Amino acid sequence: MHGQPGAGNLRERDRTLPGDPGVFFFITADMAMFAVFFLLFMVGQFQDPEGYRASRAALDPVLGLTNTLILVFSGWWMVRAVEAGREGDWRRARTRVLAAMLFGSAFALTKGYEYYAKVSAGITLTSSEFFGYYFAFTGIHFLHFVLGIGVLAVTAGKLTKPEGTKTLVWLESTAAYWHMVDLLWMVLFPMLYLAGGTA
Amino acid sequence: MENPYKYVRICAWGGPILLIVTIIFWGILGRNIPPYSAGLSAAEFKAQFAPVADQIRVGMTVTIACSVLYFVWGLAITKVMEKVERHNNVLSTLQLWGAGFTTLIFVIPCGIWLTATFRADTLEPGTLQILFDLGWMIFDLAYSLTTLQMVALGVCFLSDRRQVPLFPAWVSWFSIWVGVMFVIEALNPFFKTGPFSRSGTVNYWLEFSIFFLFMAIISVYLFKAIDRLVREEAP
Repeated sequence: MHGQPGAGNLRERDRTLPGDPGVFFFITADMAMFAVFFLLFMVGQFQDPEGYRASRAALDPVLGLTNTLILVFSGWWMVRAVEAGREGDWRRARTRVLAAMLFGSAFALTKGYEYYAKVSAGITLTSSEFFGYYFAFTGIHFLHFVLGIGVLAVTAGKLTKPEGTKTLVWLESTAAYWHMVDLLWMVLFPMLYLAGGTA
Repeated sequence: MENPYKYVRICAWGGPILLIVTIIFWGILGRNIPPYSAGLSAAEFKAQFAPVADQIRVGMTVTIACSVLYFVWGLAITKVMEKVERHNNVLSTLQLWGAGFTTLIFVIPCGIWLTATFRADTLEPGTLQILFDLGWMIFDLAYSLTTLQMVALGVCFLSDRRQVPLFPAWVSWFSIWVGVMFVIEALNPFFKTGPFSRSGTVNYWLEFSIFFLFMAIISVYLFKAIDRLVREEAP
């Protein structure tokens, strides 16, 4: 009836969430935790707008923007990997997952450089409330990023021996998680680097 | 007649009982809801701690004694996990060791807080405070031992091939998520005040809420799974 194994379920699944619903539970819980972080930051900024502005002046928005573009570009490769997977072209899907991984890894370089520059300039997470949040939030986000790179590697491995729908669900779940990593950054970037202005 | 689940249900009660004991004896009597802020000066800390030392002493004495129930609970979880494992028993073993080590994370810090209460009147404020800090450092920073338990549990039940898995997927994912979220405790040593300090919104209120929720949710599904296994395997 259908060319690809498990493709019969595809149309059915189009109406629901892509990937595994359990992964979306994890993603929702994670984003709820970050929502709490964002709220804490907003409250802090509301109480001490001057202090936050002064600290923010030490951040480089160009680096923040670079990180955003890296994650979005990597996410775009992931979208294309899922497209290839849905067409049953596992080889192409694998290449695109590897591309997402390769371009995404650049985030580690720019973020690493940014941390190094801050610490060299004597700015650490105890420097101010703003930088406490900056290091804590971006650090936890970075941990999600590292986990994501690991999951992308596992996914690339699974795509060498695809098992139909099972592999597609895994691929879509990975993509959903990876998009969460860039979505969280897309909130972190304006909030930390831009909103509220600099001194 | 042989019953492969003899004692398992009794062991499973270890979790809910320890949860109640923890809330009453460690939390309320032990004055840990929330704990004394790391932002207090040594003198301020002693002024608050010493007058209630007797009460905290009772709380810690009972909590230490009951801590073993965490391991007992972990064994009940492992017995259910063994029914899901196909290739080997790595995940159920990791879960059990994670639970066993978590027992120590109750025992050791509670012993240190107990020591602080022992001579609370005569100890220097700075010494008293450092004992309290030491307990909290171990209690919060040894999170990876519990993360091990949570992730092993989640991964194992996600691989369940039954039509209706013994633990629903969301419970497994919740377990993994709580384990991952525990990493935030690593921020503890860097903050004396604010949300990431030991008594803060995130590192105390959020983290301990999700930990207690983990114990409650896993216990509920553990009993359901044991009931189901007993029914399935009934002669």
